[in-house]
Amino acid sequence: MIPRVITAAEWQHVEAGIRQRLKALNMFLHDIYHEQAILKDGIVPRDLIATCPHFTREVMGIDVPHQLYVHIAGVDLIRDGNGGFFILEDNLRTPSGVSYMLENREVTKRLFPEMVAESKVQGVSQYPILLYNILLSLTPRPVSKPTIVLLTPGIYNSAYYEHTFLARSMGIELVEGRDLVVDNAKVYMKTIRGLRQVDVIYRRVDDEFLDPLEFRPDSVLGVPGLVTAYRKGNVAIVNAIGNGVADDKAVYAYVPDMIQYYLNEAPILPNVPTYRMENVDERELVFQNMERMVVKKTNESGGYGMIMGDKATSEVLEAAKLDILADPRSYIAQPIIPISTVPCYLDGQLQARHVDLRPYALCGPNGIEIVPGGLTRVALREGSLVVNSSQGGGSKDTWVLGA
Amino acid sequence: MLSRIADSLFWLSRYVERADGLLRMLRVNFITSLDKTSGTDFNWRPVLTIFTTLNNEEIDRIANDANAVLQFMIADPKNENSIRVIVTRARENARGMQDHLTKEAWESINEFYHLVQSMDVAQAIREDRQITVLSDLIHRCAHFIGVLTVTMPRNHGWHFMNMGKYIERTVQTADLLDLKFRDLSYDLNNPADVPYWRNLLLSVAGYELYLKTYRTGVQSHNVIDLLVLNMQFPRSVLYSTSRLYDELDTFKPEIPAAQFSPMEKALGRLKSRVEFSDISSISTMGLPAFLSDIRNDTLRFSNLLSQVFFAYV
Repeated sequence: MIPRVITAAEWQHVEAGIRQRLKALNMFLHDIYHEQAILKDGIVPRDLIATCPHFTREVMGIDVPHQLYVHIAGVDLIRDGNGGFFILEDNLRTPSGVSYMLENREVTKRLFPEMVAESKVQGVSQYPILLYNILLSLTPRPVSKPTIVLLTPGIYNSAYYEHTFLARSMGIELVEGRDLVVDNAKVYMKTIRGLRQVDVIYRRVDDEFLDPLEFRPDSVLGVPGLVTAYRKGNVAIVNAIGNGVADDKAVYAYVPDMIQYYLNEAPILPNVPTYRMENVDERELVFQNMERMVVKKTNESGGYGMIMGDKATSEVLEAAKLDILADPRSYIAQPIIPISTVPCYLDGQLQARHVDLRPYALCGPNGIEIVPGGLTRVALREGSLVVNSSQGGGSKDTWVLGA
Repeated sequence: MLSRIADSLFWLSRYVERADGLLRMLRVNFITSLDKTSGTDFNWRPVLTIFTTLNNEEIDRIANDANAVLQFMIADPKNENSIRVIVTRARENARGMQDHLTKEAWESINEFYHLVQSMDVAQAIREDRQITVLSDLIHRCAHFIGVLTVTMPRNHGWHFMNMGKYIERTVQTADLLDLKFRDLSYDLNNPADVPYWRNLLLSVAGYELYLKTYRTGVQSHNVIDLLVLNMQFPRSVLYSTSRLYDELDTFKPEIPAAQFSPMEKALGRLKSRVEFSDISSISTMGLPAFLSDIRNDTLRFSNLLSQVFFAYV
C-alpha cells in the first residue's frame, strides 16, 4: 500500500543500464542464431550454449522483423546494503506481472491522489499503447489493419487474468491455440465469418508448447505448423522463439562480457557475482561457503529450485552438493546479498520487508522504451529474501519521481 | 468474432436460461408438494423423468421425497443437469472469454457460481429454507439476465447469447407441456380445470396472463394456446422461435448464402410449423408428435448453427 520511491537520478541510471543491456542481449540473440561470432571469438564458451536446453536449433537462421528478439523484457534488479543497483535476472521470454504494475498505480492514485500529483510521479499507463504500437510495427503484411492477437494457454494458467487484462487494454483478440490454424504456412484464426489471417502473435505460451510439430508433440496449447509460418516470415511472434538461451542463469554470468563485446562499453549496471558450478575452482569456493550462498537451478524460475544457504539445514546443503556434482551445468551459486528493504504496512504497523524491482522494457524498431516504474516485489515473510509471487511474495507500486 | 467466443456466449446464455427454467419449475412443484389435502403424496416421477437421466429404480427411490429431489436437482455434482453443474458450466464458459463480457456480467455469473458452490443445500433443507434457497437462486438468474440487458453491447455476441436463450426456451416449454399432458395421456379434450394447470402456468410465470386472457372454453386448449401460440407470452414456442428467427436474420448480410440458407430454412420450417398451427391441427396430428417435431427441428437448427459458426477444430 505504501509506494516504493525512486528518484529521477536513480531512475536515469537504471534506465540507461537496462537499455544498454537489452541492446547487447538482442545482438547476442541475433548472433547466436546466425553467425555465432561470439562463440567463435571465445567470449562465451561454446559448450555452455550447446548444453543450454533453451538453445533452440529449430530457429537457426530465421530472420525476424527488425532483428528484434526481445520485445518485452522484465529485468529484475536488487539494491545491496550500499544502495547500488545490481541486475539479478533477465526475463526475456514471457515476463509477467505488468498488469500488477498498472493496477497498483490505480490503487495508489485512489489512496494518495495529492501525493501522486505533488511528487510528479511519472505515469505508467501508456504501457499497453506502447506495446500495441510495437506489435503493429512488426506486421509482415502491409495492410492498414493487421490482425494482432494475444495467445494464452487458457483459463488454467496462473497469469490468465493478466492476459485478459492486456488483451482488453490493447483491444486485441485473446486467442487460445485451438482458435488458430496454419494453412499453407499462414496462420489463421477461426471466426464466425470463416478464417482470418493473423499477422502478429503476442504469445504467453512457452516455446516448448508453441508448435507440437517442432517442440513437444503432446502440447495441446500450441498451433501445429506455427514455426513454419514464422520461418517463412508470414507471422511475427513476440517475444521471439529461442530467447531462453539469453536468460539462462548460467549464460547470465556472461552478459557483462556481451556488452563489452557487442557495444564496446563498460556495463552500467553490474551483475550479482555468479559462480558457475562447472568451474572446479569456483565450485570449491562455493562448497566451502555454502551457508553464505544461494544455489539456483539454471532452468527454473518463480523461486523454484532455489536453496538459501543461510536457512537450509546441513542435510539439505550436503544433498545439494551431490546434486551439483551430478549435473554441474544445471546450477549456479551467488553470494546472498542483504537486499534492500522498504517499509510495508502489515498487521497495522510499519515493518521492513525485502524487495526487488522489475521494470518493464519495450523494444521496438524505434528504440527501447522503459516505462518509469515497474513492479516492486515484496517478500512478505519477515526476513525472507525470496520475493517471487509463487513463493508468497506480494507487490507494491513503484513511484519514479519527476526531475 | 472468434468461433470459440461465439460458442461460449451461446452456451453461457443457454445454461443460465436452463437453470432459470429448472428453478422455477422446482419452486412451483415444491410448493405444490406441500398441499397434502388431496390425500395422496405429490409424485416427482414426471419431473425426474423429463429433467434427469435417472432410471426407473432410482426415480422410485426418491419420487415421493421432495427434499431428496431438491438435493439431487440443485446440488448433486453427479447429476449432469443439477443447478450446480449447469451454473458451473455457465461460469466456465464465461471464464474463458472474460474480455468479451462486461465486468458486471462476469461478476454476476461468478458470484452466482460461488453461491452455488458454497451453498449447503442439505443444511438449508434441515432448516426448512427450501423456498428461500430456490428464490435466491432464481434472483441470481434474473440478476444476470438483467445485467446483460443493461450492460452488454448489441453486437454479434449479443445475438449469439439470445439464440442460446431462445433455443433453450423453445425446448424447455415443449418439455414442460409434455410433462403435464403426459399425466392426462395427451387427451386434449380432458376435463382438467385451472387448478390442475396452475402448477404448469406458475412454472413458466404465465399464470396471471392466463387468468387475464382465457376465461372460458376447454382449459387444456387454452394452455396449449398460451404456451405454444400466444405471441404476447415470452415463453411461448411461437414467441421464442420468432425471436430466434430475428436474431439469426442479423447475420444474413455477413454469411455466404450457401451457409446461411440451410440455417434459415431449418428455422423457417420450425417457425411456420408453429405459426400456422392451431388447436385443431395440433389435436389432429396429436400433441406428442407435434412436440417431438418442434424438438427435432430445434435440434437440427442448433446443429447447423454450431457447424456454421462454432466449429473450430
